[in-house]
Amino acid sequence: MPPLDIEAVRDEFRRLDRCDGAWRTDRAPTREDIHARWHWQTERIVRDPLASGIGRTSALIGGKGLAVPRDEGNPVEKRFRYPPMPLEWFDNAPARCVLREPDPEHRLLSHLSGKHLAGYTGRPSGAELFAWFRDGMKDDDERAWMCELLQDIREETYPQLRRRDALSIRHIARAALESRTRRGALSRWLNQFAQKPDGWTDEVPGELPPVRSKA
Amino acid sequence: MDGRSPGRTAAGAKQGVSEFEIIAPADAILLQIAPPLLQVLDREDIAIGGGAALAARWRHRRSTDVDLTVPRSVFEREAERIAVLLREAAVMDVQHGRGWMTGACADGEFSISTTAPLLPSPAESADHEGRFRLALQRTAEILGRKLRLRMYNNGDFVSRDFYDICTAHERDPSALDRALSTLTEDMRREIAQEIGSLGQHASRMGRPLTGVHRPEWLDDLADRTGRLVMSRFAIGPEAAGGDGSGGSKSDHPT
Repeated sequence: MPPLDIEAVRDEFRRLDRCDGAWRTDRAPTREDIHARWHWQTERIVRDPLASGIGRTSALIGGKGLAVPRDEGNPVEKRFRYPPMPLEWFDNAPARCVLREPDPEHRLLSHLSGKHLAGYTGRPSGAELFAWFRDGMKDDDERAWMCELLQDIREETYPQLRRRDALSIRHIARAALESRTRRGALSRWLNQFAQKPDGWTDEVPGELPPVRSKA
Repeated sequence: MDGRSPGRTAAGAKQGVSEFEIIAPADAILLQIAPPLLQVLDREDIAIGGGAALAARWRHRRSTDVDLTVPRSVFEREAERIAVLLREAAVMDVQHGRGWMTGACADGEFSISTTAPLLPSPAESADHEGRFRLALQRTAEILGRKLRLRMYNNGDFVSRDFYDICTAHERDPSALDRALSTLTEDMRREIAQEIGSLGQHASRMGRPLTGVHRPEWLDDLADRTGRLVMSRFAIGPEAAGGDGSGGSKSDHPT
């Protein structure tokens, strides 16, 4: 795990304060961005941010006092709910690469449907799921199935999606975006393959202009 | 292990033991967290792994965090107390869950994991760092975790892992062989394909690599790493002492 740049967390927290939490579009969210946003959002909903060690009064953001240890199920980067980068960021060769031929039986996708969508009437087959990944989804029902699946599977299964069938990172990213899936573990995994597209316009709401010295 | 590494301390060499210095900035993190940890844990229960341990041995790149491993049973018993002591030692953000803990120090971050070793431990004593005499995880185990847990299980690809694998081929090829033995041939083929598909993007995955000893490797890091993962001899997971899955539930068809 790369080290956390504490000053970058604080800078991003201050930026969120200035722009009321608007997302920046100049880069895929870094760990620092996620930590800052988690503190910024959680501060607004917990009853006592100071006692909880969350937000501007926390040791991490405020730089004063002692940390309040938090017993968490999963690291912030994985449990925080945010979307992957826009699809244009996955229009690059590594993200478009399909590593194998399709599995004629779509065994992994069939298995995942059986395991994670069990009990639903008319749950999709492996072949249907494969088609939704490859060609997109047609209606809200299909998007709801896909969202349920991507939210529920174990995060170790994400890399297997393209090892066991002819799916690319871009296919998976598009499915996540179309189905409005918000899962940090998935977005974090996908975003490692995201690259800023040519001609992209950066937007960083709340960013202060660089300080210029009087020359 | 290559005992001629420049990271080996004079004191260690004199005594005929392998003793290494954790290099900056990771040493400052260790200086902050080791005393509180040693109030609760036995020295033998802590091992330094990850890039900090490799950089101590090889001086091949800059490592900016400290990864520790602690036996799960010990960690589960002491996690709350450790968290409190780290807080008192001015660690700025302490989070923990089942089997893990992370914290942010002024000079960087540390993590504690409780994942059981992938490879069997040899009988001889381990290398250790000089200041607190904490064991350094074996090179093969560190590389095995990168290959099996980070790349294969999690699908996470970062340039520093590629660089460590290439350096292992140069400095400690037998450790790389043992690490690769945590993967089956199919697994090696799959992650070699994935690494190879990254192309020029490979050296930009994760945080920038700094202080590298072979900058010329960065241009073809993906091809270089992919070839090593695929081509080196591996003996199969059974002989390596387990399948590395840690007995976790599977999301894959059997």
